Amino acid sequence: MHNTALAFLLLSLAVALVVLFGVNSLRKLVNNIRERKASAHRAAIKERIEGFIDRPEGEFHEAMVDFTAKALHRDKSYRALVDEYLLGALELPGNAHQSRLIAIAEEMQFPEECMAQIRSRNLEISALGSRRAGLYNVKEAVVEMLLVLDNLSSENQFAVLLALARIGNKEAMDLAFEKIKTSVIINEQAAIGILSSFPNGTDKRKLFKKMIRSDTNYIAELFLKATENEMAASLVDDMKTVLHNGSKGVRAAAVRGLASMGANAPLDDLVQALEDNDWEVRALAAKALGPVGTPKASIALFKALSDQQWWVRQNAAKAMLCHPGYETLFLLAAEIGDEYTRDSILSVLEDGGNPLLLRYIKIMAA
Amino acid sequence: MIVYFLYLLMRVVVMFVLWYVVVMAGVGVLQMLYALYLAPRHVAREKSFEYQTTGASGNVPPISLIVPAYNKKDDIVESIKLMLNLNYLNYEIVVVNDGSTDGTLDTVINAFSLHKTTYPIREQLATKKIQGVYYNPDIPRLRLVDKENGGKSDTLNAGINFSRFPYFVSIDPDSRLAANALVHIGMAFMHNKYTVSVGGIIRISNDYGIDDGKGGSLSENIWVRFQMLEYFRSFLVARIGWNSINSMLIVNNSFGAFQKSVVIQVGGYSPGVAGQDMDLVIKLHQYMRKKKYKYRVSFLPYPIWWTVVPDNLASLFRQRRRWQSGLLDTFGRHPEMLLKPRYGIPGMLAMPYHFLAEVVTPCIELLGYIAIPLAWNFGFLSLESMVLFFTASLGFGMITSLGALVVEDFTHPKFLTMKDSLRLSFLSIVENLFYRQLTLVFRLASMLLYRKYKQEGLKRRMA
Repeated sequence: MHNTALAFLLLSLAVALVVLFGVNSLRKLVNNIRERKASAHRAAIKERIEGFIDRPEGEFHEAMVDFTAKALHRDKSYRALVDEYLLGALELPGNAHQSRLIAIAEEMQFPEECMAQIRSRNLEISALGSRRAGLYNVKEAVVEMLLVLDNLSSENQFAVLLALARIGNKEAMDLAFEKIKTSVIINEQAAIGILSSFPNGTDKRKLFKKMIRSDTNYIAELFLKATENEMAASLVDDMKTVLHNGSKGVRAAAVRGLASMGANAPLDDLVQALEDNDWEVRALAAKALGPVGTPKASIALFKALSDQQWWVRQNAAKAMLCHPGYETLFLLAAEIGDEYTRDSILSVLEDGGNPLLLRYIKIMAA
Repeated sequence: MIVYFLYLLMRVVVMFVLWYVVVMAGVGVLQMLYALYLAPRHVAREKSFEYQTTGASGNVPPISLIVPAYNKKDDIVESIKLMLNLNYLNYEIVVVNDGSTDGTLDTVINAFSLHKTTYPIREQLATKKIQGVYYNPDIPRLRLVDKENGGKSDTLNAGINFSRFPYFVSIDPDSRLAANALVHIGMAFMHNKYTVSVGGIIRISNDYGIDDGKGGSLSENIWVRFQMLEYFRSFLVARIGWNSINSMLIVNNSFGAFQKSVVIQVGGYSPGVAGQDMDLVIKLHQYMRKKKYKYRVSFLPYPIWWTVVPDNLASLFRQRRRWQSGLLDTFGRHPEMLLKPRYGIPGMLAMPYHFLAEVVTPCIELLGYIAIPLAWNFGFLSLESMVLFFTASLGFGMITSLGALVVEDFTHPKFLTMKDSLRLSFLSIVENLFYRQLTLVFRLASMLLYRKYKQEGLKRRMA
């Protein structure tokens, strides 16, 4: 019995070794052949699609139908390469042929595939499905994606939110954030990046307007931080309100949102924010006053140069460097301020300020 | 009576050695099978990433690359140049010169035309005295910090104090980063806000070009080839498994990413410790578990970091001595974590397993290679049992190595050519008949010399 068991073990071992060796070699061989074929196909697909993508509507449609009809009869790996090309092209922000690339995807029946993938129990496959649904603008997938949000997985949360933002469905985004407001897994930068992907327009403005007043501070902060450019200008009154009434985090986020307006940021509110109890709010306000090169802003920043917090002093000095006539104020601050004020001024001047002034203040500091 | 008792005792010892080795080898095979099961998931996961947009996006977590440099004059400039060209928008490079005596400081200053500045430093971790900060406004990403010699932990802590961003990556000057390395790291932090640390696969760059090994080939050096296999087995297969249960205990400090605030909370890298990397990760596990915080120590099975490995026996022994001493050091510093339910799977499973696999197994396996044939010769053991021992020890090892090659091919199919893959497949057999035993001897010798190494380590820095 003992011998039989051992013989069985040895035989199993030999078989396992042969199988593994065979599997490894065979996989490698098949991969090599596939990759060689795929390289040729990749180039051909790119050439073919780029050949008709910018033709007039009628010609484009005809060429697209011809291309997809042939592609649909090819094997799965060929269709995967078409998918890979389309996703890569759609991923590039501001692609001029977005609607046409989506039309090709629809002809290739990729949206149906996405829906099936999103429903997959394999979380990674489901995340891939969401990514494709977002890029192919599959509006029908919104409900499926919202259901996926119930299964908490970081990849899925990221992929679903990004897809919903790309599709630009305000109600869906609203619902999604309502669902995850107590269980956000993605980090702040990821959420801001996702919100930036939401197409600009009335829906985005309405969504942001509602969310920056959210009773969940974290959600309000996210939307405030994601506010930029024209959106910030249209939400300026809402941001001012939360700047004066919100929690510490919300106030800081509101300053960040206002800062995205650059030179058009509301001066009085930012100057007031420089007096905030929280140092982070003051530091951000100092930074925001950089592009606002008015005398009032310069005087407020001059005061901030002697703030107790390092970041506030540092940001104030950096911001002042953008203001005309900063040399006089720096000189005055270096004379009447303490060593910490001088340190901040020196470090900022070393990053690209007036070299003569730098030398003079260095001597003064010594 | 006494003779019979001794006979019984020896039989028990031999049987223990036999079954211990069989069980541990079996666990190795199970780990490999588990990694094989998980590998396709990682491939699918990678497909859901968007490298182009993430790399170019401003909405990514800002990362500080901290490069501790001690007598690295020959590698440092090339390394910094590569780091300056990564596909990522928000990052800075903080090179920390640890009082080098070979002119590393001047080499970097001259190569990048840096000049001394008075940039203020937030001293959140205690370090040796900072002697100067150097900067060139035309290369805003790069800053050089010069400090008194204090060892690697002290150097990394100085880098943490100086870094401006909420995440940092520690990277050795002789390591090379793939162009998308920070995108991978950034995504790991973006996808999960509870991520406190991220490690990646180490790839061997001897004779290989980085990024898919373009322009390179398998090294002709046999030691390098053996280490390639060993790295697939230990760093890919094992870590995929530990990662799935959030119990990674090691994030190599020649390339590891961390959330700065948490590292500061645990006091940064421990000075004077040989295995700073494992020590820090264990401190993170302890801290987060004690505080009952949600957290994740993540592993990315993608080749994002390349390093040069020893190509001769002497340097291989030195490396293994450093590793083994680091392990002993860390286990000695954190015995309280072993088998404590409070520390969850890392304390109840990962720590004991690492202790058994890395400290106990080398002793027992080597004992087995000597005792089992002797026991068979003197009639303590049957021939079948001896065959079972060698089958488990060598045969299971071969299966694990070959399986690791399959996992590697799944996760990164373009890395090895067909020819190289076949060569390594044959080598995975040979490895178990010779190289593995050699490393066991190295480990055992390192443990015997541990006290001496520790004494030496107090006097000289651990490069």
